[in-house]
Amino acid sequence: MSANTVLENEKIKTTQTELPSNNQIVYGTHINETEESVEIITEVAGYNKDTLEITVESQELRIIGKIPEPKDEEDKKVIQRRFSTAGYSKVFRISDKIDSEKISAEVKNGVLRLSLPKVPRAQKRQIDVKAV
Amino acid sequence: MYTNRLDNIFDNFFSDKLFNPSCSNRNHNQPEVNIYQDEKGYSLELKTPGLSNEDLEITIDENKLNVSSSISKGGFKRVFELPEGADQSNISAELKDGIATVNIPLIPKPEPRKIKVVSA
Repeated sequence: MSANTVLENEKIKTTQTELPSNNQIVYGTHINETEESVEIITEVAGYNKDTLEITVESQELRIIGKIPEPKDEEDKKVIQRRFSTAGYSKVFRISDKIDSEKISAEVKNGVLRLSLPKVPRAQKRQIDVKAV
Repeated sequence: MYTNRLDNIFDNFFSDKLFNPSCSNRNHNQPEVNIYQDEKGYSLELKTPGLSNEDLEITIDENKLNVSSSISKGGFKRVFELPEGADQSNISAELKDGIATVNIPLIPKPEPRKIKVVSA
C-alpha cells in the first residue's frame, strides 16, 4: 500500500486486491483503493450500529466498539474460549486525499464496511498569459 | 493445527472434532468457537462475521451437532459431539452481529419421588 493513502496500525491480513463479497466469512481487515475512493471491510463480530462509534479527527479514523453489557456469566464455566468480544478498537490514519466529510459506514452481521471517497482531483486548467 | 489439538483435550467431555482430516489443514475458514457450561446446559458461540441466517445450517444427527455453511467461498463444517444428558429436542440457535449461539440444554434430572409401599 502506498504510504499516503490509508494506513492501519495493525497488521493487514490481505492486500488491496479483492474485497470479500457479501456472503462470505470476513476475518481481519481488507482494504481496497480505487481512483475515487478507499474501501475498508473489517470484522466487528459482536458489535452493531448501536455499539460501534466511529470518529474522524486530525486525519485519524477511529473505530471503537463499546463493551457490550456484561452478560450474566458469573455462574458460567468456560470450557474453551477462542475469541472475545469485550472491547474493540482500530485506528486508521487517513491522508488528506480523503474527503473526511463524506466517509460513510455500514455494519451488517458483524462486518463493517467503510467507504472513504477521495477529494476529486482538480481539473487541468489553462492559464491565460497576458501581455503586459 | 494448534487449534484442533487444543480442541481434542475436550474429547471425553465435549468434543469438537473435524470429521474430514483434510479440512484441518486449511482451517482458515473454520469459525472460532467458545464453549460455556452452566447448570442448565451448554452454549456454543461461533464467530461467523458476514454470514446471515440463510448461510448457516445446523443439524443434529446421531448425537452430533453439525454446524456448517455451504457458501461458495469459505464454506465450513464443524462437528460437535453432544455431551451426555443433552436435550436434543430443545437445542436452539440464534445469529446476531456475526456470532452464532447454539444453546444445548440438559435434560432436567427427575425430581426424587417417593414410592408408596402398599400392603400385599
